Amino acid sequence: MIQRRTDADSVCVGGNPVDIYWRFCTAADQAGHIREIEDAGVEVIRNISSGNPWTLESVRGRIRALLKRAAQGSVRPRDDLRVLRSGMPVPNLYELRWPSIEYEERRPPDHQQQPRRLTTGLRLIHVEPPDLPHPTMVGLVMHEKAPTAEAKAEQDKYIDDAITMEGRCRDSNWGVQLRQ
Amino acid sequence: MRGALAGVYKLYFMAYDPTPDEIAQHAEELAETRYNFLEQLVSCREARGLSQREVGNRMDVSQPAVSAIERYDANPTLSTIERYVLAVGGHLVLEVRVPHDRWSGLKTKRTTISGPTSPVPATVPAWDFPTKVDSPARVPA
Repeated sequence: MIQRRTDADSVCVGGNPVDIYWRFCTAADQAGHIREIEDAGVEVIRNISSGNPWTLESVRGRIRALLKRAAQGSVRPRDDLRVLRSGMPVPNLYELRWPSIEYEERRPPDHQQQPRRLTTGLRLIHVEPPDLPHPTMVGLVMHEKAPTAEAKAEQDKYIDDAITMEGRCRDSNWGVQLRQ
Repeated sequence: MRGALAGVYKLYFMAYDPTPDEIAQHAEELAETRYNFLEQLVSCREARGLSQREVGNRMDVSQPAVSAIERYDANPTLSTIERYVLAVGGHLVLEVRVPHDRWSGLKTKRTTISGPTSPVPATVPAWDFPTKVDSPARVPA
């Protein structure tokens, strides 16, 4: 019998400080790991947008704000964080959510029409290892979650990727040096 | 000599043009303001003893719509927020300020030349701007 996890079981909503890591990040401090998560999210938006630096830095700021809340354990469950694959024999997976990111779509230079203003979201799939001395989250996959019908299937693929990565890299602490 | 004067002129009249790091820091503060704002909406509704359904009835929207307003992804319009605050009997304060930072000093000098000035208080912290939404849903004690 597998115990169903809920959004509220996440360490990011528990009110205690949380150690944040980004897989394979070699930074010695938490700020360096957060910086690399920001970079991953900004890169997702850069690839689909016109690359307006104001948009990209705005995304960076939004990512940092929620990660800082996660580091304080003060994320709002359901709104800003959801449990993934609850009740299934998978690791403690959750996702942090950044909805309503507005951007101008990328168009080829020779395209005649004006680029459209679009809205999308970002998701950070992360694992919360239960057997570490401190509350910890390790970011595994950052991906776009567009408000489209195809996005659900894509999201499932990203979750599968995260589960695979988590299993393969668990013995090496997901490629990070755990802080004391 | 003329080049040096042009440099001083350019510096004196420089418009707001922050670095990417400054933009990101500012965006982070705005995001935090928004998180706090949404929490205040819920706090105000709960302090008034109202359910989402009751607020929805007053706003002429469904309970899920009220739930969406209280989440980040709803992106409610200002008029929707006004109706929400009206329904819960809150107090909404919208404020946009120019902060006291390295840009505002230059800006203040420029406005001094062109017309009446409204000096920025020295107590305003750097990057405490703009679209500051302060205590949007305050419940009277």
